[in-house]
This record gives sequence, C-alpha cells and structure tokens, in this order.
Amino acid sequence: MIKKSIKVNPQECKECLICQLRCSLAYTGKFNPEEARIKINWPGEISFTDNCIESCVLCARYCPFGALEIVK
Amino acid sequence: MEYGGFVGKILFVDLTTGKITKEPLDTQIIKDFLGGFGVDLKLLYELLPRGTDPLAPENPIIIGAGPLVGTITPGSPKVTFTAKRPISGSATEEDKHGVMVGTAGTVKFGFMLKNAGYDHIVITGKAKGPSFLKIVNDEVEICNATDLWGKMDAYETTAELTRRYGRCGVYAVGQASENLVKLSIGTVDGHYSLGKAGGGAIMGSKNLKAIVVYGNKGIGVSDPKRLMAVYDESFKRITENPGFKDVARYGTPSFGAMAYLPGRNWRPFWGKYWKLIDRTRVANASCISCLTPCRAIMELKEGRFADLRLVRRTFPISTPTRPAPEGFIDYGPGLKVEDAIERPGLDRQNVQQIVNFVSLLYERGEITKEDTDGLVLKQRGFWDPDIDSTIQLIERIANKEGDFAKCLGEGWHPVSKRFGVDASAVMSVCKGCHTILDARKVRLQPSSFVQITGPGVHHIHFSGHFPGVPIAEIKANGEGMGMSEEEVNRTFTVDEFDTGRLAKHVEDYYAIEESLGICALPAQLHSCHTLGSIAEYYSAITGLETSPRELKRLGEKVWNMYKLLNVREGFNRKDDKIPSWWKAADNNLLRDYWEKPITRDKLESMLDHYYFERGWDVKSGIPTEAKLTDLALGEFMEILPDLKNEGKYL
Repeated sequence: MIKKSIKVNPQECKECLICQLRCSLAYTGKFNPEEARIKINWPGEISFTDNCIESCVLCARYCPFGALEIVK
Repeated sequence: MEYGGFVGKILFVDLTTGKITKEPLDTQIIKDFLGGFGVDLKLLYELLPRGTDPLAPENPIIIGAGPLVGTITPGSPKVTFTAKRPISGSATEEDKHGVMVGTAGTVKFGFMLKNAGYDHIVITGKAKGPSFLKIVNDEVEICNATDLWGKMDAYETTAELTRRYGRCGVYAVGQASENLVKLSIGTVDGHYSLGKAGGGAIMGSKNLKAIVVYGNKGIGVSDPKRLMAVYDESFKRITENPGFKDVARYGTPSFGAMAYLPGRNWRPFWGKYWKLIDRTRVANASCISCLTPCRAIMELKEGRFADLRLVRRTFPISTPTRPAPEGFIDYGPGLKVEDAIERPGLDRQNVQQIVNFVSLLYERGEITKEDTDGLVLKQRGFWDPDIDSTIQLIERIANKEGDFAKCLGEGWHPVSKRFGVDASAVMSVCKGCHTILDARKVRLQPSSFVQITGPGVHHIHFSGHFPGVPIAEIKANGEGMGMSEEEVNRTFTVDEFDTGRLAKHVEDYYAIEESLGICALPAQLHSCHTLGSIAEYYSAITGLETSPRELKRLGEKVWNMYKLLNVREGFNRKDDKIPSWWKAADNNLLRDYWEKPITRDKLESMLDHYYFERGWDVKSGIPTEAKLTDLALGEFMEILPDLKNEGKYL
C-alpha cells in the first residue's frame, strides 16, 4: 500500500531493519522481521503491506537514518 | 523455552550419517554460560576430544546466536563460529592448534537462525560429496552442492542461494576453503567474514559449501514495555551523539581509531586516505539492529579497474581508506587485490600480510625467483608493487598451485619454517595470526595487550584506551564495564592505570557482549552500552533478572572456559608472547600508554599483573583450582595439567 503518513527515502536506508523489528514487536508481540508490515528490499526498495495501518508511524519514529519521515 | 530471547533448540547435524536431531537448549547452560560464545564453548568441551585433527570429521563446527540477536537491542547482530583452529596457534610448535571463536555481525543470518527456532547449530562428520545445509524453520536438509562446488566463489554462492530461496541468511565459502587452504574463511550474508584461523578450511573438510537459513517463527520477549523503555533511552543517546552523522555517512572510517589499523605492516603509518571514501563508496549499511552502518559497497569509477564493484565490505572498510596493506599508491589496485583475496574466500588480514612478508624477504634478497615458483615479488617502488604478480600469487594461494603458494596458504609458522625467518620478528604476528592492532602505534595498553593474552584468535575489543583519552574517561569506561570499586581501586591511581589488570576486565566484558550477541564496535565506540544497560536489555528480553555484577561474573566464567579449552590443547604462559617485531622495529618504539619505553622486565610484570587479576597461576599463566571453584567451573578441573612439573610451563 502507499502511505500518506510516511515519506520514504530509500537512498537513506542502511538496512538496519529496526523498523521491521519495532513493527513486528508491536503487531505480533515478537521480533519477526518477516512478519513486519514494512518491507525492506535493500538497496532501494521500501514498501508497506496491505494490512499496514495508514495512521501508524511507529516504524518512522524509530528510523535513525531518515529513510522514513513522518508527514505532518 | 520459558525465557524470551532464547528460542530453545540446538540443531545437531551429522554430515557422515545424515542424521539430524534437535535438542532442547538446557536452561542451566544459559544460566551458566549466557549464550552464543559461552554456550558454544561449553558444547565444544563436550564434543571435541583433546588432540583432534582440526580438519578431521570429529572437529565440530558450532555456530551460535546469543539471546539478544534478532532483537532490537542496539548493535546485537553477532553470530559465532567455534571449533578447533586449523592454523597453528603457537610460536614454536606447529601442531599446537587451540580453540578459536570467530564472530561476525550479520544482516539476516542471525535473526533468520533464531526465527527458524535455533540458538545454535552443531555440525559434525563429513558429507560424502559437496553439500550445503538448508534450514527452513523445522525443515532441515543436507542438499547436493555439486553445481556450486568448484564453480562459485563465496559471493556467487550467496547470490545463487538467495536467488533460489529468496530472503534468507547465508554462510558460504569459496574455492580456497574447498581446497583446504588453511588461510581461508567463510562469508556471512555476502559481506562479513566469519571463521578466522581456518574456519573456511573446516567447512571444506566437511564437504560443506554453505548454510542457508530462513525462519519466521518470531523471537519472544519477556517484558516488551520494559524493553522499549531502555531502548528509547539508548536510541536518544546514540542519535544525539555528535559523531552519529559522520558514522551514518562514512561508516567505520569516521572513527579516529581506524588510524590505528595496519597499513603495509605499519611502515609508514597511514592516515590521509580516508578522504577518498566518497570517490568509491556507493552506499553503506548496517547489520540488523545496529546504528553504526559500517559496511559499504565500493565501486571504482576510474583507472585500469574501473567498474569493479566490490561486494559489501566489512570492518575495517579498508579499501580506499587503507590502500597501504598492499602497498599500492593508487587505491584502484588496492581494491582489486582485496577483491582477489575475498572472492575465493581467503582470510584478508592474514593473506595480505603474508604476501607482504614474502615480498619483503624478496626485496631483501633472502628469497629469489627460485623460491617463489618464478614469481617476481620485487616492488617497482615503495608504494608500487607489481599488481599482476601480487594477484597471481593470491590466485595460486587460493588454488594451492605450486609449493610456494601452498606453503603460504598453510599459515605463518610453516612459512617461517620454510624460509628460516621468524615471521613475528618481521611482522606483527602473534599466536599464529596477524594482529589487528599494532602496539607500537596504539601503545601497549589493554586493547592491544589482549591480543597477547587472548586464548584463541585476536578479537576486536576496542575499549577506549587509545592515546589521548583522559584517564577519567578510561576509569569511567572501566566502571561501565562492571568493575567493582575494589577492582577499580587496585587498577587505577589518580593519573595511571595498570594495563595488565585492566586487560582482564576488557576481556570479561567482551565475553559478555559476544555471548549475548552484541558487537563490540558500536557498543564501545558509540557509547551505546554499559554493562548496566546490557543487564537491563537482558532482563527485559529474557525475563531472567540479572545485574551488572552477575553478568560480569558470567563473563569471567566464559573467558575462563575459553582459556581452559586452549589449556587442554597445551597452551600456557609461553604462548602469551608479544611479537618480537614490536620490540625490534623502529628503534624500540614500543611504549606504554604514557609513552614510557617498555623493557622486557616491564612486559613480564604487565603479564604477571594480568594473571594476578585473573586469579590464575602466574608462572604457568593458566587458571587455578581455586579460581575454577570460585567460578563454579569445578567440573572442568580435570583439564588442568599437573603444575608440579613447572619446567614444562615456563
């Protein structure tokens, strides 16, 4: 899905997968990057799954490198 | 498994019989040995008979991922590779091998292994033909690798297995490992090297080309709320660190410490090349959970090797920052040489330096074309060796072509023996491997001292002791590593510290990090952890309430276990020997942290203090019965040799 709440800057992504770790902890209760609602195909691709919630910006809050920016 | 972080199983694979079993991870073993590094060692003790040939099927490969691997704990991507090492670890005895624990950061391998449900893999035996191990959650299969063996290098194998299985973790070896070249190493996730001191050759001896793993079961957390509270604090501290932006842009070369890594055997010391980074770097990236993106993709844009794209590079991002090891004035050939070393899976650090060593002997006229199977190793100028002959030599080492190259691939001692020159008198060689740090440059302080006392291979445990760091900061760092008030008081005075004593605590801290899966690099250089924060992460994730003091005790216990396994293979104080090159070169530039020259007596006294602090026997340099009892390691007492026969140990 395309999210309006998050601006994606794939060139800044460092593949640390902190976004996936945070997302999977929040929505599955476990650390499981494969089940995260944000998909990272480094280098260059960042996408969101269809069940990702538009208003949720948890992953962007934890991106240390500016690859995910919260749109205010 | 009732505790978070751990996933509760050890996977046993016998390649000879094809038998695959899954055993529960005993809760007592994690309480006694933490995980990763520590549990690997305990398993190795049980599985490795003393005196086993490192390339025999009986030598197990144990891969571990500690309880914090695959969690959000900052910088917790490390996996371990534990086995008996093929490269001799003794200065004088070729058949003395010892036990190695290699460690590496991973992007996928560590979290995939845990998500598949395994904390450790134990591989024994030898497959009938070329094979790779495939792990997809509960399905484990030994697969035919005939189409990879002898045809694909470590990176091509990683790419091919990723093409076949999609997102997965891959540990693969190249042709050098297949050929049982002892200076060979494996590559994890196509970038980091894992298995220094001959791990690649052990894979080759088992006919094992790769391990591929996929998992999506999830790693449980005991108290997510408590975990995120400590994480939020770490995240803020790291991202607000003044050096954070430089690190994010340049990776490891932005650290001042990189200036202390080797360039052409430190003659002369390099320093100005890091400005070239932007000319070749395409991107840099992190391991999972890490805010220190130390790996990079390099691409040459000009010169004879234009368009050479280097696979993801590792710490230290040598290449343009460090063309010196190969001695080329232009960094292009430097990158080309590194590519030539890494593709067939050769151990970069050792192979670079062993090539330097024989080139030096050639320049001095101590060896000639007759000794090198016709290769001219003479340089055209100090910074300008002949790239073609260098690459040719590297290819010959990987393919075991000719007696000369074959001997080089066996490691430092066979080479020293063949040419009658003690390598450690000309190069920074200690315990059979080239050191990471040179004490003449960084001074003989804990970070360089631990290369002498470390039982297995050299590890990176940067601990903030580089020249110029104020003593108060080093003291605070010691307290952060969990030193008690008493330990601090006997190690520090107002303006000095005791190197030998402090080294002991640096090692204990390293044992904790590697057992839990934390990388020493961001942990130390980024002030990202103290033992207090590590204890909080461990307690929140596992649900096993711990304290910095308890972790410190377990770190010491793990390090004693590491030492014991090497004592079992015959190691003692005689092997804790500084490379004589450090003393001989550059008009005795070996100095302590305060720039005072180090005499032989001073060095021996530093070692004495180290053993005192460890509570070990000072004469033999090995653990005592009292220390083992104190650490609840009494059951391993049988390893200790009879110290009445003191002559043997001095």
